[in-house]
Amino acid sequence: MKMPFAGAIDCDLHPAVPDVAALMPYLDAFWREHLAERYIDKSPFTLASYAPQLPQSVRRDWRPQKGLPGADLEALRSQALDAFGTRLAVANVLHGAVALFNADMAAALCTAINKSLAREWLDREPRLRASIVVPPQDADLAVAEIERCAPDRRFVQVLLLVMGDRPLGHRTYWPIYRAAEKHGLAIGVHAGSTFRHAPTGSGWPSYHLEDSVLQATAFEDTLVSFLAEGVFQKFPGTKLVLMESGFTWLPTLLWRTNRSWRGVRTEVPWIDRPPADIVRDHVRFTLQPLDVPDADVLHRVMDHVRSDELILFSTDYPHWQFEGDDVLPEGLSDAMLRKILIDNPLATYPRLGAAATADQTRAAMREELPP
Amino acid sequence: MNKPVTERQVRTAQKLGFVDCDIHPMQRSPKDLYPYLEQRWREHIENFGGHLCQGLAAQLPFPRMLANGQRADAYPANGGPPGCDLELMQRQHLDLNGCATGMMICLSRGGMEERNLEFGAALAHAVNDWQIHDWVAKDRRLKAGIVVPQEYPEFAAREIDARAAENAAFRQVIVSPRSIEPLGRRKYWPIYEAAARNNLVLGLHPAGNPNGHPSSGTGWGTYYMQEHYTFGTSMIGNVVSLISEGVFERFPGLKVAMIESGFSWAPSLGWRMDKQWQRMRKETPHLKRPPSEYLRAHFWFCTQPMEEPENPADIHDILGWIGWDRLMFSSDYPHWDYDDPGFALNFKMTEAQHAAIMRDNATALYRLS
Amino acid sequence: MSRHVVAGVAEVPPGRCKLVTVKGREIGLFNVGGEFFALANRCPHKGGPLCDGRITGLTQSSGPGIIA
Repeated sequence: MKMPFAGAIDCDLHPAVPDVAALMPYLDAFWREHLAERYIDKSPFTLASYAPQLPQSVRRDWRPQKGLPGADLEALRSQALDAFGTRLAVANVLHGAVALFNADMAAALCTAINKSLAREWLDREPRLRASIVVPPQDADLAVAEIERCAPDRRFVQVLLLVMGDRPLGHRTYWPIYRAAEKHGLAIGVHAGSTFRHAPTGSGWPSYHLEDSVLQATAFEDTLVSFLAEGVFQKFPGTKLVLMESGFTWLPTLLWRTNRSWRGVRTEVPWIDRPPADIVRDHVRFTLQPLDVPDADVLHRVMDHVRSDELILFSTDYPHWQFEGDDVLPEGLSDAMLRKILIDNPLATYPRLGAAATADQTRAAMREELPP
Repeated sequence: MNKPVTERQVRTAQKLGFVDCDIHPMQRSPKDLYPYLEQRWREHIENFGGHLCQGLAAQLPFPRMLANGQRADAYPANGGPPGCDLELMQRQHLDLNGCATGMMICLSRGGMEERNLEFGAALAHAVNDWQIHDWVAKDRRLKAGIVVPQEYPEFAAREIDARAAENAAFRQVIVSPRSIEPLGRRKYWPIYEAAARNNLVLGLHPAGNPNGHPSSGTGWGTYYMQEHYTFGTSMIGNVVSLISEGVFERFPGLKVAMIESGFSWAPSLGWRMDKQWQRMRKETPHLKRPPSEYLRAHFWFCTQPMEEPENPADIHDILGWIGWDRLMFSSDYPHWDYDDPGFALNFKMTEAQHAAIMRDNATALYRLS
Repeated sequence: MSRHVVAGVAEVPPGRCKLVTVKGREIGLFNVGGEFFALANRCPHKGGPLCDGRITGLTQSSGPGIIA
């Protein structure tokens, strides 16, 4: 289904840093010299999960003639924003710095990424907002970058990949969640792996197909980690956004964690209410990919999860999740559309800004609705 | 108080003569295997013991919950762990509930994660002997699963051929799903070849001992709550592997029983695999059908731990999507999250559907009659 | 409502359970700090025999890693 009206808030799209040269103006003298000396400035820093030649990395008609997909602002404006009448979009830059082992190098690159994001993208395109790219290798360095970026209200979220060194609910990551809660930033966990571990408990699959499919199980394990570790009790202001995670696995997780909670409660007694309730309060999911085959299934799954507040509109541009303008699944009611496209994103990201209050957005929307 | 409803379910289960697809007999101690081990291996146990991929010698790194993960009332009065005493198993479950057939899943001490492959093979062989002599011979309701060390496929294939020829009580092949490579990988294909050749089901049941990888692609969890959840998610990794590697193209007769792995995830997995495969088809030209079709055609699911939707009626969607012919009752006796056959299926269904889940689907899959 | 005498008070020490059968129904008698309770010996969740279970308190926690 096509976008029914203008004014949506896209909660996951992917501008790209074209190359290390583009980051050089934002690195200090040591790192400029050091990266050049080691020829690291010639490295593409593409994540294995999103190597540009992979089918999922870029829709064929969005693949640029040259350069990285998503690196061109004009193309993003026309293909991702204008095409859908988007009012606001959250930029999640997927960059290989997060997969390095050297935390200091990663931190320097992340700072440069965020500076270039602000200057080259947010300054030039008022519809864009962004996630703060942080080095997951070192929570203290990540917090320093959050503190540096937080005063810029156009940063609305902290970005992490779903598969890193350890499950993201672990206490080693808590300084990040403390800082995010303090500044009203959401925690955005996006699909993608640094492959520190085999993608499965039984080792390394042969095919990219398997890696793609199994991102969903990594999100399940991640959500159980946040629940079990008590992140939502420790940081009650946390909004956790799972991006490009799929959604149809959620009922299983809600049912299973509710059932097992009864038996494991003494091990994790800080979970003081059913996990399904905690998820509905704190966790959101970007729309693409939904993994539903038809409208009937969509309705059943929405019934199973018992909330209409969970899904946030996204295009996932330039990743390949839908064809043409069919950015929305069939079968959504008008009320659900408004929730997914406007209300749920606004409720999830309080930092989206004065220009994006619900009233003003709806007023603008009414002007653009068909007669 | 729902008493009349539950009593009716209990009486129905008893009258049906149900099939329990997941029962765990247990050795009292390693010495129970000694009659089935050569002297060389008895000495090996005493001088070296197991060599696994974990830091603790004699316990699991994620300790279980209540009573070491067992029903507190299943510890035999005369000592030993739950599941070691046939008489108690009969009194507490088989006779009490009217179980007609019990499929034994004997992962413990089966050697599947043993790094010394010859030792692992000896253990598997011994556990298979033990199943027949100590259990099947004493209670004809019990069926055995051929335990094989999946990292030693040549031995596994020989063991499968030998056991299938020797005793019809062996109805399936049991490997550890915590393998070193995803189970669809070619190194394991001799096992599937032997299973298919002998018309035996491949039974996958979560295993406690790790085998070199964290339980999740996200790394090691902290709490048993997380480890328990990975019984589902890590099994999904193996399902995806078996399908993606083309195991079912190579062995079109192979059937897989997912035991204690959950089942409500299966429709979601089918949709997701299909969507990814649509745009990535060129990577796997050996797959001639959408992945969900292999899932639908080759996989059966056991009920325990039974899903508990917040709205109980939602289970009907899941069963409709999976197929009422694909679900098989299991109790997981004597574990702590045991599902009682009279209580576990607390949703409306027809008598035929109830009989299918409690008896007929397993009877057909395992060719029990 | 009919009355059934099933046990003496001394037969159910504090923190313990005594299983009795009344008209074919198994009932568990519990003594919690001197107060007596009677429950059907069948957990409403999945039917487990409550009297065979472990009697414990409810662990409280004010946050991760903190008990009480």
